[in-house]
Order: sequence, then structure tokens, then C-alpha cells
Amino acid sequence: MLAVWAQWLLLILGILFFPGIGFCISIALFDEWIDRKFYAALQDRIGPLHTGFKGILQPLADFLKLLANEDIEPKAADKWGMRIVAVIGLTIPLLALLFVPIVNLSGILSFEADLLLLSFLTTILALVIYLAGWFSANRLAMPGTMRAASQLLSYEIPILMAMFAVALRTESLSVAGIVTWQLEHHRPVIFSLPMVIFFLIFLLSSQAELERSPFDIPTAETEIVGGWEVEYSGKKLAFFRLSADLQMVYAAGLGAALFLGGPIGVEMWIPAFADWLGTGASLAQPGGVMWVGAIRMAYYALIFAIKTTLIVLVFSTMKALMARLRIEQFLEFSWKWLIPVSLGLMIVTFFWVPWLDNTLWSKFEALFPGGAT
Amino acid sequence: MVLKKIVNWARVKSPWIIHVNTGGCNGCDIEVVDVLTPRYDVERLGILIQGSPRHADVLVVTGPATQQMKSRLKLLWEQTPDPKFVIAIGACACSGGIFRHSYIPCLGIDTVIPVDIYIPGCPPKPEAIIFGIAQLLAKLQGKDTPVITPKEIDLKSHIKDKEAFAI
Repeated sequence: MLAVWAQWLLLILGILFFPGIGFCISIALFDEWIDRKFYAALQDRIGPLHTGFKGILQPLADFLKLLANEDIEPKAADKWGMRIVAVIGLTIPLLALLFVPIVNLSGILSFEADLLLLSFLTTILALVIYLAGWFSANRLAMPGTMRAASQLLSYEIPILMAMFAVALRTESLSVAGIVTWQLEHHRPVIFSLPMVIFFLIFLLSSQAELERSPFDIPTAETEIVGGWEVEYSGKKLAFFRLSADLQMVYAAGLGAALFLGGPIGVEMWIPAFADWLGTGASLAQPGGVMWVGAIRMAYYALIFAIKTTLIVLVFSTMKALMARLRIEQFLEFSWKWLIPVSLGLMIVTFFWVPWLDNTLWSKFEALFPGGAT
Repeated sequence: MVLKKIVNWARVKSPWIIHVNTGGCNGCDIEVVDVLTPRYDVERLGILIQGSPRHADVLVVTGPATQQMKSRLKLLWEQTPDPKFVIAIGACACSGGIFRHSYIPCLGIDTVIPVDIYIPGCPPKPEAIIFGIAQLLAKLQGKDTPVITPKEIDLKSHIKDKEAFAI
């Protein structure tokens, strides 16, 4: 049993280093490298090669270089607005990542209905991007800002639909509850039929939220030279680029937690293994065995990294395969197709899935007697 | 001191370029685009092409700097954050080329902005452009010759249809 001060120390260290800020930033830079390398491979190129092992330090070099560059603030721009927006843009994905389960069945911070808070943070990010373009007072940033605002707001709704469909399915509004449901029922959420389509909707809308090709209309470099971030240089650009990477990890981590079982690996189907892992020590359960707790942290972090990287690979495949359309075609696609389809699937989830649970999944769960509860 | 070394390492490893045409014939621009395509792929050296001068470190300038482009080139140079570098690509950008003795004095871009690396040629080959970029990176490190150690990649193993490529 740990003393109270030691528990607080562990919590602060956790937020600063291992499952918190340090780990999230390193996995964000790693995923950017994976993304660039895989994107290059799909285009028959080699990608970053000379920076570290096969160019693995390339995102870090970019980040450090931008930090050291001159920071230009235009005369017409709102200077304090630009500074504050850059910092908030970096803070929000970091805060959201603390709620994503990485080394435990719950995030470092977690409470009932934290899914609501995550949806709120996603919307704030759209507002931050809008303000970022607005404060820079540039004639090229303005169309980018307007495109970003309309695109982010219209693709927010399918993402929220997918998140709350999962909440409806698992009857829990907290990320920890959803992950625990998947462990207890021996299957990831994606195995239920309408949830597959919700997962696809989630991936597609996340790609739009991240403003990556084919949804890179707000930052289209060939027409409006970088969109809303055109005036940002030096430290602020470094923050925005890191924020984009963190958002990618956040989207992938949330998708993994909601649909693919989060950090749970094979113990989903091996109840004895799950029970053994459950005896490990953690902050929520300080009385457990220490070394089992350490193994569980490493194991869960590994599974989390594998799952997020797989989703990032899907993102980069989308980026390489599809071409950019016009902004109103994308808005049409969201309002006319994605939102009606996800609304219809919500109704399907509400009525059909309980019936499916009784007929099919109860037999599936009977295969795993006891354990993992 | 250590910080300075780390920053210099980062700067050498990720030079982002912006491409400026100051009234050239588009020949050099095609070669610059060539450098970014799969065959030469300068993303290996961490080079990315950027749309905005605020995001870039290296101005890659082609063309002889015509009267109309002079003020705009200067503006672009001023918009680029420090430290910034300029590469002049092609005979026009280096010295004016065939426009040198025309009725409008176009004497190359170094009459407008300071230039770090000159890559002559009309147009220079993509290999020459990559060599010029490597020279710039060597200059950043305080060395005379390019310092990129070549890495061998077995391209033959990537070829699926071997007979089509047999000589």
C-alpha cells in the first residue's frame, strides 16, 4: 500500500512522462514517421532516409528546426491571439489524450461520461482552428478559415454519431466503461454488424477532421498556400504541426478504444490471462502485485501502439489513394450521405442489436465460462 | 553549446523549400519538380516543398529576376523566417543567362537578394540540383564537401516484372 504523497507523485509522473505527455508526443512523432514512410512507399518513393535509423528522427528534426526558427508576427495580425491559439491548439489534444486508455482500462484521467467531455474538446479544436485563421488576418488565410470551419463542423456530427452509437451499444458513457464492456463480453465493439459501418464513418470523418488529403481543402497548398496556417512560422507552426500529429494519435487511439478494444489484446479471449493481468498493481488498485502491474503497463502500451499505428496506416492509405474535391462536394457528402446514414444506423442499433444480443452473442459468450469480470 | 549543435543538426536534416519563378522559361522549374518526384525523391534528405514562404527555410529561385519580379522576390525573401538560404537554379538565376545582354538589364537574382548556392546549367540536371542542395547542407555544417553518406538500396529487388527490365 502506497502513501498518499507517493500516489500523487506517481500520478504527476504519469501525466508528465509515461502514459501522459512524453509518451503521447513520442508516439505522435513516431506515427508521423510511419505515415510519411508508408505514404512514400505507396507513391513508389523512399521517404525520409538519412535522419536516424531509416529517417525515424525526421519529425523530431522538423519540430526542433521550427522551434529554433524566427517567429514572424505580421503587423495586421492579432499578436496575442496568435500566441494563445497556438498554445491552446497544442494543449487540447494532449488533454484529450489523457482520457484515452493507454496503459490501463481507463485513461489517466477518467470519470463517468467523459465521452461527453471528449466530444466537447473535439468541437473546441474546430473553434481553435477557426480563430487561428481569423487572428492571422491574411487574405489567403481567410478562405482557408471559412473552409476549415464549415468542413470541421459538418464532419464533427458523424464522429459524434459514431461515438454515441458505441455508447448506446455498450450502455456506457465513459471510455473506461466501453473498454471494460469489450473485455467482459469477449469481443470488440466492431464485431456487431452496424458498428463496422460506424467504424468506417469514424475513420472517414476523422480524416476530414485532421484535414489530411483528400480532405485537405482548408490547407490546400497548391491553391491557398497553406490555408489557415499560412501566416504561422517558427514556434507557432511547430506547435500546430505537433498538434496535428497529436490529433492523429488521438483520433486513432479513440477509434481503437471505442471500436477495437483499446489496449486489450489477446486476453479478450483468454480469461485466465485477463484475470492474471487484473492482479497487477495500479493507481486505482494499489494493493496489487507490483511486477505484474509493470508487465501489464508495458503490454497495454504495446497493444495500444500497434492498434493506433494500424489505424494511422489506414489514414495514410486514404491520403495516398484519393484526390481532392471541391469544398461544397465534401460538405454535400457529409450532410447528404454520412449524417443520414449514421442517423439510420443509430435507429438500427437501438432496435436490432438487443435482439441480436439475445439470439447470437449470448451463445458466443457462453463459450467463455467465468473469468474476466 | 550542446543546444546549438542540436539546432544545427535539426536545421541540416530538414531544409524546407519554397519554389520561386522570377520570369524564367519554365525549363528549370520542370527540373525542380523532377527532383521531388519518385525517381530522385529529395524527401530522403528531409526536404519538403512548402506553399508559404513563412514555412520555408530555403528559397529555390529560377529565372533572371525581371523588373516586375524584383520587388516581389525581395518581398518573398523578407517574408521567409530567419535563418534563410537561397539557391539560384539555372544560368538565368545565376547570371542572367541569355537575358544578360538584352535591352532590360536582368543580371541574375544576386542583384536582388543574397545567394548561397549557384547551380548553373540551362537547365541543370536533377542530379546537379541535388548536389547543390547537398553543398548547401555541407555549408551549414561548416564543411567543404557534401557529408551525406550514400546508402545502398537494392532497387532490383523492388522490380516485379524482371524480364521487362532485362537489358
